[in-house]
Amino acid sequence: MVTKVDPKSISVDFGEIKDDRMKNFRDRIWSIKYWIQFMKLNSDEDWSEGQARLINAQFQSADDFYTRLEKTEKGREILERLKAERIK
Amino acid sequence: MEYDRANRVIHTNKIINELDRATLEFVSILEKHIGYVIVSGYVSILLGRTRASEDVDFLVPPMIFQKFKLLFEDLAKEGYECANTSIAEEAFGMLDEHAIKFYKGLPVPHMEFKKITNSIQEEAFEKRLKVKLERAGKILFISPLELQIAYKLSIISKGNFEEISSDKDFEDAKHLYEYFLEKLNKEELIQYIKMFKAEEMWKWLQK
Repeated sequence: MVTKVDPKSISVDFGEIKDDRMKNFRDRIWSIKYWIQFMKLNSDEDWSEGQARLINAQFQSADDFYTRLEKTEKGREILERLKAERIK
Repeated sequence: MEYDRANRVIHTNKIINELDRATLEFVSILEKHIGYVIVSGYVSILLGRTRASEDVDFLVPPMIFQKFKLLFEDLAKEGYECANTSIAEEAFGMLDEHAIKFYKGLPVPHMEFKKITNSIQEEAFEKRLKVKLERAGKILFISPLELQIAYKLSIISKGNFEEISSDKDFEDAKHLYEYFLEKLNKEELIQYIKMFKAEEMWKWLQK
């Protein structure tokens, strides 16, 4: 059983949201600096292996998505529509 | 990865990923017809940033239609499709207004192709750097790092925390700045920062 929440009863703490964003921002900057250190301390082969794994997986995922679309009639219709909607 | 600033070349022995491979394949056709410079997000990715991108942005000098048509036909012959139009004349006409997109097989990643129309883009082309991909035995031309960093900061605009806190452009600039910190031409970088009126962002970048 899901308890329904009255949206009117929710109060948003914008100060807290801003604090969270600042924290996330600092975390990401820390991650970039950490990655740069990793790149500098390791060979190109080492750091680029991780990068390739991440990037290749994302393209594989896109590839799978289009392959799945092409397998169904509705999917092929979507692909055709996308082509037809290209900028003129 | 080594940046030889005097000779304007970056050497890397990185493993070629799918985005690099797609870019090198497109460039192998493009460079038979015209010079180019790669700008924007892929510059950071090529140089190690851990994110993907749906597109790679190319700037090319203005060219006459006959030359463009040969390139367009060559790309088509190699299996590239222009997402904007399949007619070379139409694609050429669009270049005055916006980028045109080419892809092979799937629409991602696609190669965005834009004509140089202003002095900043001319600067990027004239001062382009070579990135030598040792494993592939290939070269890619990219925008100078100082210009790339300043430009990335400028497109975030206002310089307030709300804008940069979730901005990939800021993170791309941060990546280049942190990795090449000792090799950057600081004087040139500051000049570009001032030119783009990105002083507020510059303060954030150095934190």
